[in-house]
Amino acid sequence: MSYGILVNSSGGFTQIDATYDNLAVYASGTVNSSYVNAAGTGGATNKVAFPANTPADWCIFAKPTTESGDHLLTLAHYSDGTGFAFFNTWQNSTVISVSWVIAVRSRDMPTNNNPDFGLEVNKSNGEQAFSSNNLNFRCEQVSFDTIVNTQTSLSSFSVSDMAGVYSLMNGKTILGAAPSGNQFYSILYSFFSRFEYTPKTIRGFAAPVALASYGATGQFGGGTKTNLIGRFK
Amino acid sequence: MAYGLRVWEPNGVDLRLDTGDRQFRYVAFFTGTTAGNSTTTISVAGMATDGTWGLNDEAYGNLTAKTNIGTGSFTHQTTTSSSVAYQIQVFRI
Repeated sequence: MSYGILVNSSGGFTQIDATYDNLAVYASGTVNSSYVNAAGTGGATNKVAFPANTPADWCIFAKPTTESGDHLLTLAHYSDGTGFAFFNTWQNSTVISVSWVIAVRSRDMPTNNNPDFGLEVNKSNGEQAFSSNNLNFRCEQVSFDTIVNTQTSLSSFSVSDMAGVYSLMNGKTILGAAPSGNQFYSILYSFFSRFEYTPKTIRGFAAPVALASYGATGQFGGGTKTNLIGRFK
Repeated sequence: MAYGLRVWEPNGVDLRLDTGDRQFRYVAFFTGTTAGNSTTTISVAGMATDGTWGLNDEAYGNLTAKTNIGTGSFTHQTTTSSSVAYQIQVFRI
């Protein structure tokens, strides 16, 4: 390395370098969860509009606002780019409050020079890679799932302290469609993050999210899903 | 402290970064379309199946496509005759 900085963690993983961008909080808030009813024709949709100038390469993290119980949430973002929502499993009408974070690359964060001390790292092209003035994502656990079908065993994180722990929600969301018994509709399966506060686990879970007009034939994409949990500090 | 870096918040007590943290680092964002029953291969310098690289496909309707990490590249493969758009985030952790 001929310039910049390289910081490795005690586990030997690179934390900061002058090559890649670290991730920071661009916006955050709370929203009620959404659901689709049995007929697939209604339910509740509670959508968050993307803030102005949100970069296209966002990451969305979430957790239940009230940190208790057992909750499954999946992310839906709208193809017109106007916003996103968090859905319960199909037909689950128990709406909960969800805390969300939009995280973006450090280079896309608004200029923040307060306080005027700490650490700022720039890449060789002058873009910011890390700033301690941002609320950065401190990753606590990571796993990678290769999803083949709805029976694939998905990652499970045991968490010693669940307080303030978010899960990365985007990536592989809709997994596939299964026959519903109706020739015009399929049951849409999605990747859920399951927050279980009593056994203190956060894990992936494949479950139905909606009834959709994909026809009666099952189809499945699968592929790689990156799972991250951690806090923003 | 024998290695690594700690960064404190202005209160001098809470840590923004500790020596044991793994940081999520964004490598690249790729968009495009893969034809039906086809595979698109995208080169990423240094990519490896070493457990530090991740992919997420953001494209709506990606239920008939899958991604796979390789060495120096990854693939986006469609599983039906329909073409599928991709919006793939590449990270290192």
